[in-house]
Amino acid sequence: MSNGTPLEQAQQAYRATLKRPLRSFATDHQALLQSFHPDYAESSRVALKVGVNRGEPCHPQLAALLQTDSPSNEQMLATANQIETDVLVIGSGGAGCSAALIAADNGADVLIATKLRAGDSNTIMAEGGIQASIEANDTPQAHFDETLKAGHHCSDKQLVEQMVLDGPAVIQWLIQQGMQFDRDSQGNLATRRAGGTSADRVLYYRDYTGLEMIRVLREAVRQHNKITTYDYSPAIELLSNKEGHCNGALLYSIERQQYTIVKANAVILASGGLGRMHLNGFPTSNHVGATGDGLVLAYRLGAKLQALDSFQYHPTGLAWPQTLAGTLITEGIRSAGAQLVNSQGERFIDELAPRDVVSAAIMRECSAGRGIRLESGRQGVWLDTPVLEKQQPGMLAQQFPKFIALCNKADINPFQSPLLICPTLHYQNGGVVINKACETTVPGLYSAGEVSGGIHGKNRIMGNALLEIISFGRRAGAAATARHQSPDCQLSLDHLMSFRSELKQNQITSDRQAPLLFPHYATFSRKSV
Amino acid sequence: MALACQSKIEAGMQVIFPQYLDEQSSALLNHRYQLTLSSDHQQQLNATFPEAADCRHCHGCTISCPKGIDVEQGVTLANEGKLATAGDLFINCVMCDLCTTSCPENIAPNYVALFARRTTAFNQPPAPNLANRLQALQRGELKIKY
Repeated sequence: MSNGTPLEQAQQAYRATLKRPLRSFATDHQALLQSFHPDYAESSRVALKVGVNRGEPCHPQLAALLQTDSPSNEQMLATANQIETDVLVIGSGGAGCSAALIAADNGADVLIATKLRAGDSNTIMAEGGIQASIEANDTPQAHFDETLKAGHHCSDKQLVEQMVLDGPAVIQWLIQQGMQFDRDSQGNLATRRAGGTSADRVLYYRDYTGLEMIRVLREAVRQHNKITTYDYSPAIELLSNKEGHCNGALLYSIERQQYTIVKANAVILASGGLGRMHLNGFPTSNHVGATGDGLVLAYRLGAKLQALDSFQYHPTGLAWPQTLAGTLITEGIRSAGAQLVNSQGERFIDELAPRDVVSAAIMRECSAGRGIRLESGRQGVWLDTPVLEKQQPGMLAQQFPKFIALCNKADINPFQSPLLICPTLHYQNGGVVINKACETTVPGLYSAGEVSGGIHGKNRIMGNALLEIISFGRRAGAAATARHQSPDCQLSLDHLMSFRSELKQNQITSDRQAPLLFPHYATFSRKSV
Repeated sequence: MALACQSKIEAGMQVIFPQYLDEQSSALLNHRYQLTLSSDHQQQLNATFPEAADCRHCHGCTISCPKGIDVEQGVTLANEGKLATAGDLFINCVMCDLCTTSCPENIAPNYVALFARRTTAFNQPPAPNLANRLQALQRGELKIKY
């Protein structure tokens, strides 16, 4: 195995040219994935020993987290102050905000508990756009088929059917909240194509789709008189009644170092993904709070999870400069025509193949010595933006202001120099099992957004995440409000007893705590009681 | 001064926590409005953000903006009823609230701009491609086959 071409040498050798030789690449996507995608490595899965998914495969780092004892105890409950609400929403990204808005519109008192500040989430960083089949030459059926195909036919078809049919109404609702979308000269909503799809189906606002969405939804939430938001207040445990139904959560205020019990008729988990666990040592595009907390809470309460060995490594994370490693460069730029180029000046994959395939192809180039090597030993390939500028002058600056801001921060001139990129841990494909009403397998507990599983199979396409969070967020809000009051209002940690005895039986001990709340380099520690 | 999240850490830097909009200063953010199609938007702006008319053009908001937005000009345009133009100035706004905390007249410029942006979006004519698809779905024409 060669080490690739050193960065400086590759920079000098780079020529912006429209005529790129296309290296003949394997058309057998499955073989490419088997050889180069991290999910397909034997070392990427172990069998869970504890909990409802016992015996099922799970990424080893996630398995260790799911099988960590809870730090919660009865003493915390006894000393905590207690408040009450109809619906508790955990998380304030797109799924949490839309769930809260619908629940509140339906008359419920809603409390949003969020670990950082309202809106701090992966949603706000989303760039590519949101899928909805609205063009005359496209159909929801094609959206459905292509979502399934890109996910290797591992999705829950009922969930995907509901989501694609929701698409246009979701866009309508967002516009009614005051969200802007880019339009063409006829006033149609503009669309672009996602990798692994056949039609222009991604709607967007520049490359700020997520920022625009959160600005608007957060303001709607802030103004709603039925919604209260607790910042810096992560949930650290879900609470249950005698039958094991979810009826609240234990929150920890980071600012005040205090515990609060929230009693709720329904709890909606909308806590997002886990990129900051840096699975397999990868950099991540995720925000600092994406530490898989929701999976931990749901699993300890007995909610079934799925596809815990499937993650998305987005093809184009910034590889250099090192201080920004992992930062996302939107697929929209490839959709607009930017090419991927190896150190030999060759293209090596259809840039709009499904994300998992493009990432595997990049890793193949690097492992075959056709990558570009940094001093750290890490490798990447070029994202050829100067050629894009040659083909469509001015387009990058007009349509991709966030990308230009990133380049300024990185001190790179994308009109003259290509960007060094490599795959970055981007998305959790699996998660909490839900039905069409976002009910988990535990009564009283609902789930929406990235923390849920079943929609994207083993690989997600661009724009389906933003669609999912609003489609399922709204449904979770409606379903949670419609839930009948449970007569048993005792709040307990009883569900931890069986979990702990299973840990003991399996002689699993750990000196860590779960949920993580923050990545290890944040050196955060919680006050114990 | 720059936002920590936008800056590379270097030796000798000082970290200042911005004055968060706590309970006391959140009086600045007590505005409530419904997005509407028909009413006079400038009147709604004046009623919702009466302070906006008090701008004394001190440039404090513009100087404070870490994204280089001409915040003061945005407030001026909004006051003149040019909501779409005002809102467009704030495409890069990350709602850090620094302009709001820097305003001596208690204007919340980024929220004025967000009002302008949301009102603009809400009042755009229906997009033909979206409207057509919604109608087709309503007629039950587009079913999914497994």
